Amino acid sequence: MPFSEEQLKILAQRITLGEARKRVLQKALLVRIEEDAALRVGRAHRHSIYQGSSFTHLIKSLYLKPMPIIILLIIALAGGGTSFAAQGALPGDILYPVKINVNEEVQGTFAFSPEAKVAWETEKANRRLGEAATLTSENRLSENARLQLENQLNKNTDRVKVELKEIESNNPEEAADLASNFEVLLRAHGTIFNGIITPSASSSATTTAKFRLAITGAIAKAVEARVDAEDHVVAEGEHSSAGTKAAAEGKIGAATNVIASVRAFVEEKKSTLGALSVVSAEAKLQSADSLLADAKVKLDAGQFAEAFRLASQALRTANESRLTIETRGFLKLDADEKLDVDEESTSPTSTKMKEESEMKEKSETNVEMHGDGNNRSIEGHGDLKLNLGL
Amino acid sequence: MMSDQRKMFLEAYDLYAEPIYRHCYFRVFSKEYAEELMQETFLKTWQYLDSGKSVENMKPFLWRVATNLIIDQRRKKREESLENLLEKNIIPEPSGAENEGVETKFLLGEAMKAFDRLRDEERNLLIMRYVDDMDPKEIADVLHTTSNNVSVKLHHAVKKLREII
Repeated sequence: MPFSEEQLKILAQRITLGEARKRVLQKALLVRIEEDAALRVGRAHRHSIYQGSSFTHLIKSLYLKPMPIIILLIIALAGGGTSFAAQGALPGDILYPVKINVNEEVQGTFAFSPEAKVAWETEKANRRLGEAATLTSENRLSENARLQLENQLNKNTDRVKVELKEIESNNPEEAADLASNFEVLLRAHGTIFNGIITPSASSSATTTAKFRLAITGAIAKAVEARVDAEDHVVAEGEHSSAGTKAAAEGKIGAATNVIASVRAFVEEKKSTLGALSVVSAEAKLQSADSLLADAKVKLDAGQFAEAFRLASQALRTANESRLTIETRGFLKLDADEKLDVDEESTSPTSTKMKEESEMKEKSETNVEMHGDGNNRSIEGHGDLKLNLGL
Repeated sequence: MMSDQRKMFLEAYDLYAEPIYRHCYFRVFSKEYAEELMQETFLKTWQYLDSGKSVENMKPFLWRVATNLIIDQRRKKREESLENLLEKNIIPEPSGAENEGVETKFLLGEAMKAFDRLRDEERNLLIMRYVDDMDPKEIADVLHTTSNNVSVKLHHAVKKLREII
């Protein structure tokens, strides 16, 4: 039977947007309008969830830069009245629920694709970890706040894993890169968190220790996702050895470039960084160099899968180095640790700092996964730095 | 931007977000894509107003913007014709209709097949008349033509639709 205009009329009545969905989209539109305006006048870095986050955007997220007043006024016009005041809220503050349940919900509606969702969940994890570091550095991380942040971090990590699986089915290389980014972010925050000293006799020391364990747990999940994706890349490449070789060569090239760029970045920032940050960054870069050299040896020996994994690790190590510095800077954790650049590198003071940093590097929680795809174990290397006041 | 323009924009969203969404849905048969097109329509409208220009009559303006966005999308995308899909035994289904009833899904499928046999101009006229419930005068305002012209073309479009088997 032919389709008629009468049937079209009937169908039209059945296709609706719904009031609730309309309101959500309205708020999202207003936020996007302001982002678009900011981009056009070049006032701010554009954070577009459609485009996903660049590495530096992981740090320069809206958490660390207050949302422009005009956006929040527009949201207020549409009925989100307290959004403006909520942006700087921390766990325990009255407006914190508005920040995560209203403001972040609005921003999240732009994340349509799995890649955008991964970027958004990564940003949210970054914010939660930044909030935890801020509270801890001020000795204000309560048990309630810790539970709340841990809960959110677990949700973010679980959602990243789900979306990565979907991306992996179509594009395992991209999934591996995104998983790597996420892992690096968590590790950078882990490094920072381990470096925050809390008074040993305070109750917050126990709370801090528990949150460190939560970060370790999140890193383990991120590692699992990354290894899965890398295995998938290697497996796809094994259909032709040329494929794995190309992947390995590509990763070695990327790692070479990133190590050079991070080295230049550290050099540029030296005068403004704390001593601990500088020696820690340099140690990580040396580690990245060493991994890269090993990757090249494996490539020459025809062990392309291993070369790919080592080069990926070199890239992650270099990126982690940069991200740690940037995060410490944004959280203002280096304020009292300026490096005197006129001192010789062999001076007693700087040698002592280097030794302390190396000891700290060894004592960091280091979670790696080993083994083939069917039989894996998670190993922890070194002691977890705990200050339980016992 | 003048505050009365901003007020007009927000009122327009309240009034026309749902109808624009529905119009876009019947042009692309995808819930997600229809939402994006609807959002883009309003974003473009805002940009137009923000550039200092004024809009006398918001409704036809919005429909024109939506129509142009859909045309842009068709030009960018490489579309497979229904015939190619049928050759590959892929049965087209409107996306985002998973929660609709059996009858609605069936009708949507029939609408997709029928529309695929019409020209874009004919589809647009039928949607504006029978989905958007616009009269020939309103349609003429959107398309910058006369209501007489619209009535004649609409008559042919309905006839062609009924002849599709």
